[in-house]
Amino acid sequence: MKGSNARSDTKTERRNWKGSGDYTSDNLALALRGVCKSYPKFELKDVTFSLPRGYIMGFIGPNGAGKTTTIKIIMNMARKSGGTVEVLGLDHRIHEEEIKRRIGYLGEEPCFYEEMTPLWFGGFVSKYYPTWDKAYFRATLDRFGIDPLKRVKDLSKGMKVKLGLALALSHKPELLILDEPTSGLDPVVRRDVLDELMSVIQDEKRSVFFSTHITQDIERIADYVTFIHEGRIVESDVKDDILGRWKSISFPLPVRMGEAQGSFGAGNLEAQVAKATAYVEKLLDHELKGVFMGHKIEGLTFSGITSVFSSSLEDKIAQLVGSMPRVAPVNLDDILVAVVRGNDAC
Amino acid sequence: MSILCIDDIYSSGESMHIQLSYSNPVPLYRQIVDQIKEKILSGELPPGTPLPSIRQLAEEAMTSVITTKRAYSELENEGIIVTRPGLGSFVANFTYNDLGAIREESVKECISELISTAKLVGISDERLLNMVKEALKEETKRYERQ
Repeated sequence: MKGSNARSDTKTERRNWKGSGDYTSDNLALALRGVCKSYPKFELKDVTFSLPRGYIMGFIGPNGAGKTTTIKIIMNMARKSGGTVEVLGLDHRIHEEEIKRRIGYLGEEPCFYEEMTPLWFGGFVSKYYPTWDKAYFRATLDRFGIDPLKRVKDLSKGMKVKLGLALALSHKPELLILDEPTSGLDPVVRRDVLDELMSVIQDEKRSVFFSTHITQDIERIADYVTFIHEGRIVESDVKDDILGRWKSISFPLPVRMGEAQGSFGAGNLEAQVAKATAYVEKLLDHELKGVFMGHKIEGLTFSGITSVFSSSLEDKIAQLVGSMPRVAPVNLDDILVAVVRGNDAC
Repeated sequence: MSILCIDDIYSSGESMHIQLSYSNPVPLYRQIVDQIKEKILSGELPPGTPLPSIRQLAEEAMTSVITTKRAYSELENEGIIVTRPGLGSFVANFTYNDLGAIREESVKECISELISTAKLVGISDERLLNMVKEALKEETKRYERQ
C-alpha cells in the first residue's frame, strides 16, 4: 500500500492537525445549521454541526434522542421546519438528485426482496448510479464473505448489513451516511464494518457520518463526535478535544478549612464535615458554577464530571479546596451517561 | 505502556505495530508519539525510513485520522520526523550529536516527571537522590549477574 498517491495527503493535513478551523462549505461533507422539526411529542431544536471532508463523524445519543430524525432530514426523507442542510456543499433539497448520486446511505433496517440474491441486487442498484463499480462490488462481497448467489432470506443479520454496506459503497460515494450500522451485530461483524469505514476514508476526499448508541465503535475510529440528547446537540467537536475537556475530578473535602490545626475531636469531626460540605456546595453555586455536569459528595470525597477541564481549572480547584484534585479520563460512554442523567451520573 | 516489536523489519513504512490502550490515561496521540519515538531512538527505525501516511497509520492502528495527524505533527515539532510534500513522512536525518541530544531530552522528561511525583508524595530531594543511586546500583548488579 505504499504509493505516492496514498501519501499525498500529508502536506495539506500537517497544517492543522485538528482539521477544523476555517472551512468553507466546499470543504464540508455535511453542514447543518439551526435545523428544527416538531412532532407532537418530539422536537428537534437548533441542530447545528458540520463534518469536514475526509473524516469520520460519530453521531451519538440514547434511543429516541433524534438521531434517525436528523438523518432522515439530511436525506430529505422527512421535512425540516427550519434551518439549512448542506450536503457536499449543496442544498439538500434543491440538489437532491445530484447529492443522492454522490452519497451512499444505509438505513437502520435495510429492506431487501427476500427471494433475490446479492448479485441481483448489485445489478438492480447499479442502474441508478453512473459511477457504479461492478468489480469493486464483487470484491467487497468476497471480502465480506457473502455468497453472491445465495438468497437474501438465507443470509444472517450480519450478512444483510454487510450486503447493505457493499451496495451503499459500490458507486464510490463521497459521503457515506449510516444509521446505526453496527447495532445488533456481533463484535466480529462490527469490526469488519469499522475496518471498511476506515478504508473508505483512506481517500481523503471521502467522509463517513454514522449514528450509533455503541460508543466503543466511535471511541476508536471517529475523528469527530456529535452528541444529541432530547433533540438538541450537546457537544460537537474533534473527539480527542472532547476527551481532553471531559474529565472526572475528585478531591477530599477540605475539612480543615478555617479550623485551628489539631482540633479533630471525635465530637466535632461531624460538624467539620458538615461545614466542609456546605463550603463545597457554596463553591458549586459561585466560584465553580456550571463547571460540573454531575457530582456527588460521599463520605469525605467529592467527585464530579466536568466538560470544561483545563490545567487552570485544576489549579483553581486546588486553591479553593487546599489540595490538588485527582483528575481521571472518562470515555464517551461516561459522557453519554452524564449528558443524559446529569447529576445522577456519578 | 509501549510495546516494541523488535522482530519486525521496516523497509517500506508499511507497518508500525502501534499498540493503543484505551484505558491508559495517556492521550492516544501521545501513546503513538512515544511508541514511534522509542522505535526511532532505539535505532529500530533508522534515519530516512519512510513512515506510513497518517491515514494508513490510522487504519492500521484502528484509530482516528486526527489522532495520528496530531501525533505526526508532534513528532515533526520535536524534529524527529520530517514530511516532504507529495512524498510522505520520514525519520529525520539525525547526526550522531542530534540523536544524543534527543535521547538526553527524553531522559530529562522522565526525570522531571520523577521529581514532580516525588514532590507530590513528599519525598525529600536528598532521599530521592539516594533512591536513584540505589536503583542504579541494583541495575548494575542485575546486569553483572546476567
